[in-house]
Amino acid sequence: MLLTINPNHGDPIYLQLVRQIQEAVASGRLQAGERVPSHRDLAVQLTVNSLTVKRAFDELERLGLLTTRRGLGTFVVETLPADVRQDVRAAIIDDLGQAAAAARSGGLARSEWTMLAEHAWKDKETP
Amino acid sequence: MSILSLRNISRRYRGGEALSGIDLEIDHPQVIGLVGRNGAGKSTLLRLLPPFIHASSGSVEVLGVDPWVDPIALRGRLGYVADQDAVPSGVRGRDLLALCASVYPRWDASLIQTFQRRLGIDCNRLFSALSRGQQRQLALLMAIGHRPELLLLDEPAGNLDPAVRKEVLGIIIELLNESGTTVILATHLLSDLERLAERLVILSHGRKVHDGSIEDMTRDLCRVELAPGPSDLGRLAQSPILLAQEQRGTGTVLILACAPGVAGATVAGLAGPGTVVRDAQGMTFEDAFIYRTRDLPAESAVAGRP
Repeated sequence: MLLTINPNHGDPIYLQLVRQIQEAVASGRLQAGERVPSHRDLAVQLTVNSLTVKRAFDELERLGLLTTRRGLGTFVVETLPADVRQDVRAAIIDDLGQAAAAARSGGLARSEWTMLAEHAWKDKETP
Repeated sequence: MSILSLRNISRRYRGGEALSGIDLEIDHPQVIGLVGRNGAGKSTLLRLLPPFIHASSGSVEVLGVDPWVDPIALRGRLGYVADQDAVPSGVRGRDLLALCASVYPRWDASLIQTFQRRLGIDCNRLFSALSRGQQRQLALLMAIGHRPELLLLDEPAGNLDPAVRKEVLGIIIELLNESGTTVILATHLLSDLERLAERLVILSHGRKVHDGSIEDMTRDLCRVELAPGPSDLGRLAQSPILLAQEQRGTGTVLILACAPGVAGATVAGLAGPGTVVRDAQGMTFEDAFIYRTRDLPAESAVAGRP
């Protein structure tokens, strides 16, 4: 499994690992049911604290991408979560919450806020 | 059991105070980065623990005991790598390892031999004839062969090139993998800390000025690059979200107290028309560190990667 850590990246190391593994699963580079190295082996390979890798694995388990079988190791799940939309939705709600907090503390009017959301939506419209 | 408990520690020298009112509690195994410039008090703090020096006031408890009650017994449970190796001339690597093996009843000679072979350290050579990197690696092996409960590292990888530094860090990571060793790592190399430490303690002029998780450093900070041209920050200029603003060439860079994902909307909502965000990114650990410690006395600013 090819993972890299970029110290010049704004994301914490565990999140960089989560994203890269998510991508590897989505692109099929990591196949359903495939075994992934243990978090300790990956820690040595990447020269990072194994707790950091463990945290990334825990997050990926929570997202339903990895599963740990006692005594056997960690694997990509056989059936990827069908309900991925649910995760996307949760992430959007989270982002919106942060944006709303920023807008309020920055003194943005509600009408401006709605307008901005509308703009952002149109911005990403695929022709 | 408490691993370390420092309460209101001060350490005075004739010239002044090296440590002042330090409280530090470690109650479960973890890796702690101890950061601060030369003279901030990092080495003094570490030297209280084996113990090599007395605190002028306050109380010290290491692995549940007063370190001065039985220092020799305590040292059997600690590992310590000083920032400088003090080895008499004419001593070979194997002599040093043999000495450790004779001192520590729990010495794991096969573990050390494995590391020594893998790292390619020729222990038949004089210590002084080894490269600086190999000297540091050997010093580290001498500190871990008895599988200490608490490992104190004072710039273990200082002045080493990145490849050798990675080898040294690798040893620490393997040790951590095998046992629940607590490590206090004093260093000014932030990129190493981000890989290893879970908790960060910053010292400045002998005082503790920060104690928190690594992620506290970067949480809710982002760097926003505006498109070149005149920009009118409008209401953003007065907003508490705007933390800093600097001119970079033709463009303006803003540091904002918000997640990168909402930076665009924030700027669009608050700044005047024509102010366009070209790029918004979370801050790197190193930048966030420099930013968050900017108001501290100049001495505490910490150098980035070498």
